[in-house]
Amino acid sequence: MAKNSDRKDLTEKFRQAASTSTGRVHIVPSHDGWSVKKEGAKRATVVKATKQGAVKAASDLKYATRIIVHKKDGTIQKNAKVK
Amino acid sequence: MTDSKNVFVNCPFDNYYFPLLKPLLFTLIYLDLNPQISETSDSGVTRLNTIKNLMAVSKYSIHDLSRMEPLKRKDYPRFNMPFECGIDFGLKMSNEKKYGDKKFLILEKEQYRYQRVLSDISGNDIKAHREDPEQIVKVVRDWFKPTNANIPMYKEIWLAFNEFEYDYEQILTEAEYDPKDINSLTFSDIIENMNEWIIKYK
Repeated sequence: MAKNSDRKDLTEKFRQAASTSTGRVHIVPSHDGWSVKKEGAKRATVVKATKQGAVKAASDLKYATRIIVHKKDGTIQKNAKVK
Repeated sequence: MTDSKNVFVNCPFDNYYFPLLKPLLFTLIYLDLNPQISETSDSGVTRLNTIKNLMAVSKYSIHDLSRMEPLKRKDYPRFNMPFECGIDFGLKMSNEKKYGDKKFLILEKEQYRYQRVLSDISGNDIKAHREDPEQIVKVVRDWFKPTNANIPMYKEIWLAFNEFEYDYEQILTEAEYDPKDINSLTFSDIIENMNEWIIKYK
């Protein structure tokens, strides 16, 4: 359980995390296949039929510095820097 | 009087259900609603009173009855959820003037399985999540659609939740908590963190 001292610290980190502008791109499952989504954007940049296709499309994006691949349940499968 | 922003959440509180509970809570907060969850308490009587009080202030309730079967062969089924669901129905029927506007969403794993074990609730809003986190976002969002003309599409919420998941894992791991353990943080901590994240995200 979070200690009281951690509580404010964690809350602040969550507040900051959502507003950090980064080159992170998420590969997330969607009904149409796999979406490539720039972090903070409300809509997907592109949707591909396969996860592999989505990862390839994400690595072609100029602004992408890190690709975070999610599993079907939304959890993280892979988190890697773009070469 | 019930508060139209409050949503009482009645579901299994364990690590198996945690991957569904997180998107469920996230969806409610994203829709500017206040999830009402009972934190674990030592005293059974106090806990039941707390639950009743949370139900009494919530216009909406979500009762997940998917754990009507045990997770493993030697486990027992969980009766807490149907029991609390019954209390909520009882509360509504006990005072139509005060609680008549209460609305219930019943969640199940499969669409028609409840008919074999709890046929009395037929005719209510019963939706299947198939134990799929994306599906739980969709059914909860769709259920609230008639109450909110400006409700976002479920995909927007699901995409936002995926980003939250990344931050949740990173921040908790860095702080030496286990992000997969439902007991790492209290529910009020999780709700507060989701709230802060969503405010900034939006």
